[in-house]
Amino acid sequence: MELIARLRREERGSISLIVLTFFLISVITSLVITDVAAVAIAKRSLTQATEAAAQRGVRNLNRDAYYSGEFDQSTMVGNIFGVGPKDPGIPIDCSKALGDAEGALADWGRGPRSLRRIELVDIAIRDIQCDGFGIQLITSATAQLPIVIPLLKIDKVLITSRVSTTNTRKGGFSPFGIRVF
Amino acid sequence: MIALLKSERGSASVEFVALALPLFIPLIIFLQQFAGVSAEEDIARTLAREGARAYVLSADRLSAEEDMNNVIRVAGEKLGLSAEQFERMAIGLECSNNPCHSPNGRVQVTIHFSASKQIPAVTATAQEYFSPWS
Repeated sequence: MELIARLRREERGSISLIVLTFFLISVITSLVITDVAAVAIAKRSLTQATEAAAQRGVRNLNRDAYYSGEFDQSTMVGNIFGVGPKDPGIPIDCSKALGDAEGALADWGRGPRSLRRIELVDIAIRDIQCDGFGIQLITSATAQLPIVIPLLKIDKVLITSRVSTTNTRKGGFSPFGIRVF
Repeated sequence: MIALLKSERGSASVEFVALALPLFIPLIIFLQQFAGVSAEEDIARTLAREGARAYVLSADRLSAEEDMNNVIRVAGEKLGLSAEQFERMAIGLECSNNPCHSPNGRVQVTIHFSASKQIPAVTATAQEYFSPWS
């Protein structure tokens, strides 16, 4: 009884308790920050790959649609004075675009280790949408966390990336497809 | 002397220093290293991507490499790379076709930061494709 009362009055070791508590909190926070940073970089890596794949896909010109419509002297005169038909955009071949985008992403998955973050696994295309002028690519991957926090028991995170892209016409003068400037 | 030994004044400070320093210093060193590596890898990834974009969008094969190097240099400055980091940086280029600047060809640009006293080596690669019309 007397011992318990003495221990309650005693203040020795109280600093150790505070330091250890703060240390534990700091360690757990550091582990969480490490995991969050790793996922953020993995997401960036996935987004860059998705951008490259979408840009690869969108370059497939739909020639039939591109060269359809009439161009005569009146539209040429109109174009010179800036009152010609409105540019409808550059039509793309959706089936080729989707194939190329898938190929580019697969290529990226087979590339050197420095091409993607080591945490990224199971990279897949979730959805591809093409409206004839642009494509939207949604990819997903599983990011393995570098440190599994015992209390949270989370060892992987699903990340997704969404990229849309269209073509733009390069300015200049290209009579009959031959670029002059 | 005995009175001094029996006295508990200052024991809290000693306790704090003896316990806190060995625990927190390794943690701070780990965090600093991790932050350094993460920041450098993030920069390397961005520079590789922008360099690859510049290469495939360049007008011709003569200007491609110069355009890429200029973009990487300017982007590196914007991202806050120091002169020491520029010195440690190496740019690698790999093409699927020969000549490199050919339609539908693939280009891989690699940015490598060699190890410094504080940070281990970091490498990041990005790949891009030439337009079918290039």
